[in-house]
Amino acid sequence: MQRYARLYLAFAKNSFLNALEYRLSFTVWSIATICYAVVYVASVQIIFGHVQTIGGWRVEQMLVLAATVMIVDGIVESIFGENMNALSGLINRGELDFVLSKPVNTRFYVSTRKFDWDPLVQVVLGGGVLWYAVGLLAEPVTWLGALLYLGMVVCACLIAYSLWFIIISVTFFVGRLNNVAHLYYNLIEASRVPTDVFRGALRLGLTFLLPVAFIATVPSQALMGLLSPTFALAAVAMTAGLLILSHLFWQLALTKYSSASS
Amino acid sequence: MTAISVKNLSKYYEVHQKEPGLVGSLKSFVLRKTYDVKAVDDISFTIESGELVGFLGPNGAGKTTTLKVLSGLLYPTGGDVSVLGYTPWQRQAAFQRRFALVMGQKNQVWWDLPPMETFLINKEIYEVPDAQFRETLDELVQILELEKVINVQARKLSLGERMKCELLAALLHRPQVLFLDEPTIGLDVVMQQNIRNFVREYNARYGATVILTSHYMRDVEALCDRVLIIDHGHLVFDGDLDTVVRRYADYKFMTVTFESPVVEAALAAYGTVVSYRPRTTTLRIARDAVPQVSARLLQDYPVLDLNIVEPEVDDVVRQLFSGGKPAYAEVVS
Repeated sequence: MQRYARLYLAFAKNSFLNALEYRLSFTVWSIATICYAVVYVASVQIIFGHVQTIGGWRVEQMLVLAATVMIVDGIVESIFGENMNALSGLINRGELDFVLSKPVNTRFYVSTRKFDWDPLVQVVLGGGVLWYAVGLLAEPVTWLGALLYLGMVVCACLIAYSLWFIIISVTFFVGRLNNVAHLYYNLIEASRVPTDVFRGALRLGLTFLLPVAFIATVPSQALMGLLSPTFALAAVAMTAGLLILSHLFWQLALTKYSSASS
Repeated sequence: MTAISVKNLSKYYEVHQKEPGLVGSLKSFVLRKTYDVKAVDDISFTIESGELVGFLGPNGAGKTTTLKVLSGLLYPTGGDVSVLGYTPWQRQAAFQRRFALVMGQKNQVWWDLPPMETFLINKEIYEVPDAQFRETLDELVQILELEKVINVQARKLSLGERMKCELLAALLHRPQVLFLDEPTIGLDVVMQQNIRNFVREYNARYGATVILTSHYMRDVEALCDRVLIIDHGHLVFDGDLDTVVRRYADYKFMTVTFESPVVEAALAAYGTVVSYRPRTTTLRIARDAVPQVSARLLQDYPVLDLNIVEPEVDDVVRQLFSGGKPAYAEVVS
């Protein structure tokens, strides 16, 4: 455990040095992220110029949701984004050979080798929006709510990562799955709307089939004291289930790689 | 002590075949015809610890596949393999800490950072203690003459410098077994020489067992007393290099540039004409006759330049096969 902490620190340091090599990239990313956040928050305000609530959510609650999407997406992209995008290349170029021949957990290595510092801008911005939105809430946020929020955000990040990882693992032995690799981005887009908007089968599907609800709706509800204990437990179960599932897919993919590549 | 033992190793790849055209594609989509490619077919050998052995063979012979099985990257189709007492494809950490794999065509050094950063990552992965890391690093940096290089961004290094860094990165944990897959590919002659010297030095200093694959005869010639020749998945020769070269490459190529044109017929007296232009001609000459023929040529014609080269290892192996049966008779297992 301590060894992996040291290794992760070394990865993060290397990635930081890497980011410093490309100063302009950071600046451009920051500007783009700020523009995107401004447009996003403005669009929420514009919609609420015409309606009072969406699916029972008021404007300040929608802003909490918007902030949560930014935070979760920022964290996932920072820690895993570059690695997920690089993984298929790693396989294509056969560089996975080096990883497989080293005394290190392969999944840990391919998932965390590169830390992308750029999306952290989005996490900071999201934090700002969240701070502002919480100030507007009718009910003050409790300590329990805040704590539960943190827990649900962690779950959301792990769920998003697991799904992304499963998709890449599948690509591994199917060879090519057009557009499915973008599923992560679609997941994030879909989570910008509270799942309360949907009804019946669609709502169930977006909760348990494609766990959109757990990305932002559930954490936001947790913060505002609106989350039922059942859903909190469901989030934990969903996280554990997807982590295990992604582990199994990865093992399968490695076996396939080992017996096929030359 | 035996470091590596391989018994009846086979590795088949399943590939699918399709008839040309749309109909063929549709057929293949519904009913896929697959067949096995025997990349490695029933190979056996043992290597003693501290040995420096060369794997020779043309492209697709099965050299890399064998190395990959030995490093635990591939599961074999059949046979037993033991490296330092471990079964490679179980990928036990204790085994992985004791060997290293270097591939001339693939990089592990981080592209955007100075090599030193990759070394530090490997230090963590292999859990090399600080003192040992320092000592090994200093030693290897000195032998490989990398003092000025390890703090420069890797993508700004020359191919040769990067290859040296690849070697260094692979050797920081002082592996007892080293697999080198085409380590000199694409390098200039001087750099090839440097890499060779280093491999010899590493082998001598640490008593490491080394397997080297290469297309270049020179690599193997300079380093290995023993070679394994593999072709079409079969082991066709296992023995010392002198025997191979003397027996199967009993000739050299001589390229001569003359001051004034010489007719082709006149040159046939010196050797077999391989390629002819009036002023520059390549001849194939028996190994033993080379000194004598070059002396005669220099005497008979005004020669501007004379260049003698060994045949390519691929040619030697091909010749070894065209010889047919005697090649197979040489198998020692």
